[in-house]
Amino acid sequence: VLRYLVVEDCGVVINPLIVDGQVLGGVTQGIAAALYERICYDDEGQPVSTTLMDYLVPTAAEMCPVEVIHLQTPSAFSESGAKGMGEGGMIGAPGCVLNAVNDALAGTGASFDHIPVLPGEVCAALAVKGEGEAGGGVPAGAGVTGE
Amino acid sequence: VKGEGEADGVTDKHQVRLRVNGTGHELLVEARRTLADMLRHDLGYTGTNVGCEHGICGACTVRLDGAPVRSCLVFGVQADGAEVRTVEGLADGDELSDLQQAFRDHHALQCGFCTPGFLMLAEAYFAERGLVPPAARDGQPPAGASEEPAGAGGELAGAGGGPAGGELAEAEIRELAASNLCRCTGYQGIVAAMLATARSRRAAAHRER
Repeated sequence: VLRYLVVEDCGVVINPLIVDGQVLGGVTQGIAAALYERICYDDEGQPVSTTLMDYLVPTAAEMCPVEVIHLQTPSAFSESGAKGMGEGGMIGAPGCVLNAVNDALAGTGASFDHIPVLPGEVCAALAVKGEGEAGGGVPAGAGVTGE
Repeated sequence: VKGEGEADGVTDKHQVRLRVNGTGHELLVEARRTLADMLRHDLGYTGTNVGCEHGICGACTVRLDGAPVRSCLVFGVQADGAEVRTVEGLADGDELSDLQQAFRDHHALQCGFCTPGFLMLAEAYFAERGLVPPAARDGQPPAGASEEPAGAGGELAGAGGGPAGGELAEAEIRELAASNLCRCTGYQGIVAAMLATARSRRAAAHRER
């Protein structure tokens, strides 16, 4: 992810540092959910994502600077005009990143409808599509939606 | 030294002498005691937080003879004779260090659990490059300062330089910050605080030359 821009509306911003902090942290968790983190089990149900390295929490190196723009539409239902704002970054990011991945794959015939999208899955999907075009058929691949 | 009825080797206690933030300590610990647990449970330096306990998250980072180490991966007995710096050694009473103040100014923490590790990681990195805090330059060098190289070859790339240099320095700081994990902040404030501190220390060092 090279650039990430958030436009959000939490009503009246009371403490900009805290609001930005919540958005930035949420975006990071959302990008992590879209591209990195997963809990895996083996065939017998044994969890195999047993360390933070296997689960793959992103580090500073995986994150790009995030820009935040605030729209401030005061809430009519709270005394200060503020709204809740802890969730937005986390909720918006996975769909946003998944759409970006699919946009990047536009024209290849490959697309994804699940997260996380991992590098190996992208390579496999592109390879399948390549074979499909050559052989005239597309095998059903896990995680690869139909055209 | 053996306790009563204990001769299994596991619970044998070993004498450890070390200095923590300049204060001398002498204690008996089991060989299996980690440095993190020794600092927290035996010596009361609970500012060092223990996260994953297997060297991935970096929350327990302290400086051991100047170098940043995961204190959960170091045994207490390995610190015998060493100089350890923990987060408690950064502030001067109630006055935050410049790095701590930068963390506050840049909102580089939310829950704060990872913060001591990031602070000690940054201090070790800065010290390797001769970027010591203002108090140390005023004649109170922290332990290890004297053995730290002036850093002609290891200076923070581009700090204080032009725009291109600034970008290079941010990439370097981001790579450094990637040593440790934070779940709340998205790292942006942490990188900004480290970068601001590196630049202000660099600028101060240049003024003194």
